[in-house]
Amino acid sequence: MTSSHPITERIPWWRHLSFPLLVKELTEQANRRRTYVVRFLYAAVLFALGVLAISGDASGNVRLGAGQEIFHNLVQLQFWLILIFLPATASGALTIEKERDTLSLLLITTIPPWSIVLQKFLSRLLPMLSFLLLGFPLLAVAYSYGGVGTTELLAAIGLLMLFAVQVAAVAVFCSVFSRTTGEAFISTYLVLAGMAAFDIWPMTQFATLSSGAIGIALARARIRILMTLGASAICLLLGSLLLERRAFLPPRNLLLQLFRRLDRFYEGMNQVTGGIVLVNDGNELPEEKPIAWRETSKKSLGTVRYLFRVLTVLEVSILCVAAWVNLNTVSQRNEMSQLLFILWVVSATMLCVHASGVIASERSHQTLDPLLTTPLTGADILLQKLAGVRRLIFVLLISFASIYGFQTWFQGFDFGYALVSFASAVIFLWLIAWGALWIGLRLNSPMKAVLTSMIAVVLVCAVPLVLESLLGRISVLDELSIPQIISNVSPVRIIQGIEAEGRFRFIRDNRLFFVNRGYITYLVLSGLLLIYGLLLWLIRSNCLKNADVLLQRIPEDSNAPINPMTAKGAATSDHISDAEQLASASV
Amino acid sequence: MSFVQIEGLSVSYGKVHAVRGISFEIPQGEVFGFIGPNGAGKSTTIKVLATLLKPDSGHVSIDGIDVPKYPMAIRRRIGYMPDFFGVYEDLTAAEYLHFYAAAFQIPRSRRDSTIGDVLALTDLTEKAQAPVDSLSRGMKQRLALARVLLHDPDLLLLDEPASGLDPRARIEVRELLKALQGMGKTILISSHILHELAQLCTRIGIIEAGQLVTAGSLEEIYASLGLLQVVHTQILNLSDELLTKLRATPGVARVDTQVDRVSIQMRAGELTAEDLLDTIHSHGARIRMFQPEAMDMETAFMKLTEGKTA
Repeated sequence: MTSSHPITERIPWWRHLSFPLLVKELTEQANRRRTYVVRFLYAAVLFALGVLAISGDASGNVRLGAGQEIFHNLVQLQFWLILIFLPATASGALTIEKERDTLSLLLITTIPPWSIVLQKFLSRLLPMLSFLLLGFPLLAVAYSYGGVGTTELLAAIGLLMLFAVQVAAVAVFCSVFSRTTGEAFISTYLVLAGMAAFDIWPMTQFATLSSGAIGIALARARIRILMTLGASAICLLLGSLLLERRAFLPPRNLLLQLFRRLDRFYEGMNQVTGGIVLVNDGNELPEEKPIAWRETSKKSLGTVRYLFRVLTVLEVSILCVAAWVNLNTVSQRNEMSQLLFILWVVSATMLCVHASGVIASERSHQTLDPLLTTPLTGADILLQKLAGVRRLIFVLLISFASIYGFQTWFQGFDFGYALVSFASAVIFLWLIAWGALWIGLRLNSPMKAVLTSMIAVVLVCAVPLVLESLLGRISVLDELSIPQIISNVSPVRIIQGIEAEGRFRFIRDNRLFFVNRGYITYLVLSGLLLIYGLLLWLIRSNCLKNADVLLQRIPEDSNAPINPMTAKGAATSDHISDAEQLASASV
Repeated sequence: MSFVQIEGLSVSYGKVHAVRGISFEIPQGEVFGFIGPNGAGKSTTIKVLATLLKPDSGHVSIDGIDVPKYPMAIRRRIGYMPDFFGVYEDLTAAEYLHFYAAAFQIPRSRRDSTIGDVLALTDLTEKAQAPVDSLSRGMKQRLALARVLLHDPDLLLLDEPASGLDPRARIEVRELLKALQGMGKTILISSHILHELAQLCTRIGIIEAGQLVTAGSLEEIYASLGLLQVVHTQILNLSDELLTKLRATPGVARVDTQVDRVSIQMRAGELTAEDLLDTIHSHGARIRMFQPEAMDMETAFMKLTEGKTA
């Protein structure tokens, strides 16, 4: 008998270092057009903002010695780009395998779980590191201006790489733990936020190190860096340990699960209180609008009692801030304005997630085709699909109205402010919803639809502001105030303008001015809102008019005769008479 | 005039020509089996009939109604079951059917009885309140069949209805389709499982690389290919004289004696199994077993196709 059986023979760990999965992943990425589009986008954003940071508002000679400020801006920019781009690519590392049912094929190979996790991690990290290389020429330019030490340069490079390692490790861990890419994407940011709360965050360590910290501060920064490395290693280790256990998770909706747990809790409480039901969800079965029925009775962000909970959370936050502002002796609108901007971010995110997914999720679950063969019109399907979104917007509008109400209360009644601010909420919320729906109609993956919608919202808000900075350097345009006019088109500026009591922001000679022209300014703001209203109307009309084409089914032929049996295709007269009866009964 | 008419249908996805000028007809009440390898164009053709894809060229009509011109009128006449059954995880089976009953605008007063009927027909009455995602794959397929029957369509378009099912579920679906055939429904069914189609279909069409290789009744196809049908029989008083007589029977191509049976190969179109039975009996044979093999569709398929895909 032989001493070792081939089945029980262990493969030495070093044999797993050939990394076949990493080679496959990198080859796949190299073959995808998306890789080059993302790289181009990254480079475009980096160089556009980098050139902006380097050029500043003065000539090169004046900026000699000011390299440190430019350098810091560029490094911060790279940190933010890592934070934006890396979770989007790394959070799908293993969830994509789960969604395609290919993870089991990986697990039955001789590649051990730790190697799968490590190779997936490296497959996402290496492209990001190549992205970081793109920024080095900009750092070199900043370095050449002077004021940056070599140690600082090395610290920046090291910490950027460390941050990429940290974000990739967290994203891969979340990808192991989650069922879908969407869950992994959101949980990556939540875990990173937790780490930031405990100062395990290379961004702040860079600020400490570059400020020339010594003694305890320096030691603390070094400990934090070691903690970041440790946290990344723990994420990868946990990922390896949990990979097999989390490989076959049933589909689930986390928010719905949370709400249902709350349901059970309240049902338990009702035994104590005697069964108080505040909100009844109404019809149990669909009457005339089945899609709207499902959207408003089976979805987490469409059902009345669940939306009521969302409203409660929002309103309690608003009331707390309002009470705090009211108790302050010096009445400030800033806190309410800040809360308003937070509400805008939350609302935009919720609407992007909800509206972009209503059709994209039907496509990904392969439930759309049967729906498209029903006699519901394309426009009807879309309008019914938005029934849940409509309710969500209604809830959000209540919260916006609360903030606007408190603002009016604290500052005295201003009809212009009340009217324009509420109109801005109505128009922008619906614009986000229809825009996200329009994007979702064009994409098959809900995750892609959500991300694209969010990017679109950010671009609409940010592009006019970036243009303002770029065009502001051209003196002819600056004298004509064209950059300022362009920047005022941004929804951010419009909302800022309304919050600043209808004042337009205006920059001259590096000083910030507000031009307050009362109701005339409100009229201008209303005009800008009207443009966005027009855009909303165009997107809505396009969606409804081309609903069948966007949903990918044959549209009704508007030129066809009304009676289908009189059209070409009905050959024999006796057959026509039979079919006409059917047609008249059903058309 | 045939209930379904397709003439010169062509469909492309970008540069890929999925369907290249196919033509065939399905008379009312027939079960038409659509056979072809993966990527041959079966699902694309069915999607055109289901109003989900616009043809590049050609004429497609159902019940005399032009499909691309009057998709809404067509949707009321067809029941479409795609090859993958996606579920609404949040609905029960009854809610799922109510959802589609409302989508097909069935009056509220009639919905309960209609849903009860289709659940009974598909043997899912006991599962009415079960969540859809808790059903087995076979039950989900039957639920999908129940859905397509809700509005009593004239034409059923079934894309791979038996794919991925275990033998029991496959037999249940087949029996259900037979029942629907008995109800006079016109059915277009695509499948890879050839012998099942042979048991169910009155006509078949074989498609490969986007082109229709052949279409017609099974007998017509076997006859055109010169295929042989095999009958297994056990004869108690078997003798050389009887074997000689059998070999001399017109339409019999070959007679082989095996340990427990005699296998008789007949040329399709020249002799039927019933006539052969009469002939053997007329020769004074005492027959213990007479078992015609199902037509060998796999042989026909292999003979007609070359393993190409679109």
